[in-house]
Amino acid sequence: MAVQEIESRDQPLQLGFLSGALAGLALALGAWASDAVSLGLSHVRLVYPSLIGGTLALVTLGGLGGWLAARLERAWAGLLIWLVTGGLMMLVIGHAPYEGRTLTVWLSDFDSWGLPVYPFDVTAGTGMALAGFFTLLLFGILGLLQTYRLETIAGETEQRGRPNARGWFMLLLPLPLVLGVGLINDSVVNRPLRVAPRQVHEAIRTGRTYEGDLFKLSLEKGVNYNAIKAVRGQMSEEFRLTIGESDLGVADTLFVVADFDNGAWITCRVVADQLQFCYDASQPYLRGLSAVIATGQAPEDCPYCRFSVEDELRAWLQGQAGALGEVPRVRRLAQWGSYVKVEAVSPDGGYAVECLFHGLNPVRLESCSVAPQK
Amino acid sequence: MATDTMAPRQAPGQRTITRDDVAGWTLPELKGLRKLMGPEWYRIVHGVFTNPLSVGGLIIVTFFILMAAFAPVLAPPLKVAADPYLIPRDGYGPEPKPPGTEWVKNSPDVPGWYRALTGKDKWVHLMGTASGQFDIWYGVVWGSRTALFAGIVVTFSSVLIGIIVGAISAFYGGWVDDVLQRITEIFMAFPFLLAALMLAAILVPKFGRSIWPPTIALVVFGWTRYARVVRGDILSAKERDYILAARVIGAKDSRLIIRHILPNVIYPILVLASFRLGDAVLSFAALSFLGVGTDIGYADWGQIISFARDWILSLNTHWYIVVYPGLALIIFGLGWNLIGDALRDILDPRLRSVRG
Repeated sequence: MAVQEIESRDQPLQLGFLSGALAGLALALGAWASDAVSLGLSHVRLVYPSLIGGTLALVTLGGLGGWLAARLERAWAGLLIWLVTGGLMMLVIGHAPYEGRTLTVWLSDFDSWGLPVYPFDVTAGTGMALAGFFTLLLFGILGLLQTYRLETIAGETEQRGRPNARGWFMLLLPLPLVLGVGLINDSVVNRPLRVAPRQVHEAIRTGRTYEGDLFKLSLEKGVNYNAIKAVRGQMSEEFRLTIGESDLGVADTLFVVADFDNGAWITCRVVADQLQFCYDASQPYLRGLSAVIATGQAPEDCPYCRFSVEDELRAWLQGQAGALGEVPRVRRLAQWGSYVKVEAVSPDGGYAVECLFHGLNPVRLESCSVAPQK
Repeated sequence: MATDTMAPRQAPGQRTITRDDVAGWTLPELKGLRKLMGPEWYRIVHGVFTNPLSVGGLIIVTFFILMAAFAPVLAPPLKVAADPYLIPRDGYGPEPKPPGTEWVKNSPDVPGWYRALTGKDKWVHLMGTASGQFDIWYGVVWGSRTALFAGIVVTFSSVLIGIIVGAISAFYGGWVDDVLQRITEIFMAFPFLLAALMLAAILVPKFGRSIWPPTIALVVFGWTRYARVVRGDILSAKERDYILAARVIGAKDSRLIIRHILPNVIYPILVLASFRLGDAVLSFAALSFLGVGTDIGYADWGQIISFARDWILSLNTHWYIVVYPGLALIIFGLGWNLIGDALRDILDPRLRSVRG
């Protein structure tokens, strides 16, 4: 008898948790399934950790919301709890492409910890507000109905309190709607960030080995394959993409960085979902930095080697020229979004300077310091 | 309450309307489904599948759902289209091309089904092109997704808002009812399409040219009718004996509304919503036709029809710009109206006395 009482008391809570967790899962599927497939196929780096983390967050939030609403057993409390839960879920979905990816980068490389790699784009707020309206509308209704829906489901259980077929049917009934709301979230929050990597991937994959005229192919297919013409010779077969920088609000521009397994490194600029051009990304960081250390100026014949730097830092760099030698070896240590960490080493390897650049267009030298002895 | 064994009362000479009058055929009793859905919803679903009207509507709606689902197969998009909803163009010429013209520039992959059916390796404009060489077949096929999306989002959101406002207004009455009804009347005071047009135009700078400005505008001005219907039904339902009985045993307001009242007033909303879903798509197309909303070249039936504006005097030659998307719109609306008609029959209390 006592066991039965505990079971009957716990059952609504379990059902509440299950119902909420399923809603969170459906929302995550709608919001991120397309991203997972499309960005995965486009060889974009570090896609899955933020999506998996986001999905876990939504399932947990949903489960907790459902559990709490079931515990309080009041329709208005359910409404309030689900509105708050929906709001939090919206924040998770809206910030996942920015702070979520930043966190992934931090965890994948602790050197990047604290850098705002993918700052939140304020224009994404409009999309979030729009998706939020539909999310809160649906979740508000689900919250209002939860107590009574769970009552019905609780009445449709087999022995040991498990829902029967009708119980499961009622439990799963709202999920297509939640999935639909997730798709709305996807279309306004994630899709704008998904098109650019796909375009760059296609341009490299097809354009790299295409033997005909890239310009004609571009006219035929409607994709600017010609954009990779200048850097085609540097490309190797295997490559990975990363989102470099995004400015969807004012310039509607995204920079996608492609790293090839032969060490080549290019950046592509995508404006209004159209690939514009790709260029050798290494120039300001490698050749440009070398020249600034040696002469204080970027090379005259290389417009892409220029970067902005404060006079004080420029003078400090020039001061290192003696220790670094006439021709220091410069290499990229890491890149996190638009942050690039570069090392200049003296020919004998005994002295090194590390510099941190920020921004892809324009490139700016943020800071430099003497590297610790290895 | 009538039961299966109770014969309905009948005046001499008056014929009872039976299920057979509205049902074209019968379906075997699906006990599993009945158990799964519960008797009332099973009755509705069973009725929908046995009523010739709704079966016709269901066939039409299913056709469009399949068209939307298989859009990438029926009309393949360009390989890396920035947005597959943007209609591919065969150049930029102003003169529309008739159905059957071969693709020349910027051709998507030839669909396998077309190759299998015709044995040809060149993709053609099955329904011709509009001004600017937008492929009409692509627009009609992918436009079915836009139509379904707009219809479902607008209708569903409007229904939810309408139910909430109507239920609170009717149940609590007094000043709550007064305030909510005045707000409802303010929204109803504007001509629906004109108000939606103005709001959509205001929202375009905020959201950009997309499906959202017209969708939001249609939701903002579309919920009022549902609120009125729900309010009316609840005003009558809340005085019924079973509600008073529930109140006497101490049921809370929320329980009364959600558990006892709403389930009994939801059916008229279902009927209205199925009618309005077709209307929502027509209104969305009207806004697109007027140039408010989606980007130029977005797969949307209203916009394809708008491409015909420049050729209005030569429609005897360029009929295909109007006819194909127009037919899609009419048939889509017809499908939902047939379902709505059938639902109204099924949920008509006069027909409920004799259960099929």
